[in-house]
Amino acid sequence: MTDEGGGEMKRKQNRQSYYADVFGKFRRHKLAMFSLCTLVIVILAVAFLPALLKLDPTKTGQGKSYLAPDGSFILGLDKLGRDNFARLLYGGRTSLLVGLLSTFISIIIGVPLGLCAGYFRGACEAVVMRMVDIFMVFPSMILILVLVSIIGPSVWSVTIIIGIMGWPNFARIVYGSVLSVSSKEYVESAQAVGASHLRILKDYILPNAISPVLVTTTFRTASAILEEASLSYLGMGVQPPAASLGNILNDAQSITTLTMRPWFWIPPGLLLMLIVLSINFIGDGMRDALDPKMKV
Amino acid sequence: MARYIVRRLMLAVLTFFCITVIVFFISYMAPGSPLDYLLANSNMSAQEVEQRAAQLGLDKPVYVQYFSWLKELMHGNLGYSYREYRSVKEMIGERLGNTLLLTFSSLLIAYLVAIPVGIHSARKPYSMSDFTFSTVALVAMALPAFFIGMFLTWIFSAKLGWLPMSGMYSSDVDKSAVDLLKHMVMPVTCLALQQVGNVMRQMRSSMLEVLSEDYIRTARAEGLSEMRTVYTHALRNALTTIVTLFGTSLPFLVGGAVVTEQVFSWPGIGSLMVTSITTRDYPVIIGITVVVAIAVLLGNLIVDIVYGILDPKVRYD
Repeated sequence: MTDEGGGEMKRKQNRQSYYADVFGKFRRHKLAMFSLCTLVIVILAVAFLPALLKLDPTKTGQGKSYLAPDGSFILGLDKLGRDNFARLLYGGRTSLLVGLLSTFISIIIGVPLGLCAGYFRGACEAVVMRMVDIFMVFPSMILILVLVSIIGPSVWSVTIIIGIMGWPNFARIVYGSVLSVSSKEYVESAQAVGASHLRILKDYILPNAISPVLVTTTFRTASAILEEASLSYLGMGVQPPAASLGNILNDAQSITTLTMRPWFWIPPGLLLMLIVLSINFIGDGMRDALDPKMKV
Repeated sequence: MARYIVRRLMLAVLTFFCITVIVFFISYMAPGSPLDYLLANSNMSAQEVEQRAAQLGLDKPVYVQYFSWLKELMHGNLGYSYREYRSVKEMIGERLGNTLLLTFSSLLIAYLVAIPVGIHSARKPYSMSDFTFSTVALVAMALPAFFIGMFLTWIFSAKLGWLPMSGMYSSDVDKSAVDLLKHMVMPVTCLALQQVGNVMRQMRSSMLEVLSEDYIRTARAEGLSEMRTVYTHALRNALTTIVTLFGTSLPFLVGGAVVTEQVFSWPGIGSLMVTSITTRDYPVIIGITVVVAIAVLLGNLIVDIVYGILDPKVRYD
């Protein structure tokens, strides 16, 4: 009993030192650390600034249509006299939420399918991996547009559809890491002593897949954010009056706005790039930090 | 080899049927049937509409409808547009070339830039230049196509007046090559930027893998020049990556330019897709999806076969 407890504690310590090591490596990755700080600032800004400054993104007629930036409205007003700065912050909020939620959906679908394909092999592997192949090469924008055209555009439908489209990324990465460990001795010995499939998957196989899944999560979140923004730009995503970084740019498609009012469409574009870039750099840093072979 | 190809071919046919089932199911679920359109736009009585439904086979069970749809598809009939009263095949046909022109040029440019850079990065991994290129690749992958498109238009059309803002030709009368090239610069740049990061990263990682193989060490030990080692021995083995990349870009070539085409009002498949969705023209939407699906399957098939030729191990799995 005490022996087992000691073993448990030792394992915990080992795991802690592993993650301490990973964190140490990540911290030395300057670009990733800088991006993490940027992302935290952006998250804090979109979460708290609207309430602090009492901004309302949907209140119309706050002044002249397309008012240029001035003292009270730092990014001016849009066509309907709504505060651009407020819409920018709410748009950032929408982007981050859609990105995170849809990636969560992708994980829930992709990870179990990848586990089954890699562990049980056979027909399960054939069906799942063939589906992954097809999904990965099908231009996702076309498929997303078809589905949106049927379900109808809204924040929720877009989140769910982008989430469903993202599953192959996770299935493939999990499948790969399952294959690399399922013939290892410790898995075979667990099978030999009669551990259940569920137990083997949960305790011996899944932990090996955590690092690649974490890295994929960051990259997938970044592309989900881009997909939502593109959809909203095309007018098939988040519908006004709700703000999204994409649908603000949709409003700027007219030539006069594009050429004469850069303050209207450049900030949302830059914020979108800032968010996506920071997430990508964090993912890159995480991949290097989680790779035991890499010495930073 | 023949057996391997036959097996892949059969798999592709099977997958094609799965895709048609899914696509048909989607079109079946789509709100509104062709009859709604008849009802709204003519003065037919309910009875006449019912007769028309029987004529079109819409009163039959779903699976019967599926097989008759499939039969038409096999004969190359993709149906008729609700809005334009024209055959979908014709509408796609006249725009496919425009899209291919755009996507193919952008892919070519992306490959020409990314492959040498990827090889260079793999030869000096974790060096300053590798770090710079990898960062640039990540930045390029993070650029939203529509924002870059708008930005380019703002600078090069509105401010500098160097390039035309949108479309394919300045006028319908004068269709010169120079005019077309001018119109292509910005959309192609926009699309190439989207591709370049991915190709660079894939090339780097596959080259890195090949360069650590024993036969490369042998080649170096035998005193082969570095250029010879990298560009004949290593590159040949990293070629499979380029084949895969090209196979997986086939669907992109056909339908991957949705956003870019929309930004620059390029008359291609992508902008047709967007217009059809806003006007709820389902036959066109489904038609484009089927065409892209065929491109996907052909791409996969080509990759599989070329793989079998390049790597004998693959044939016996």
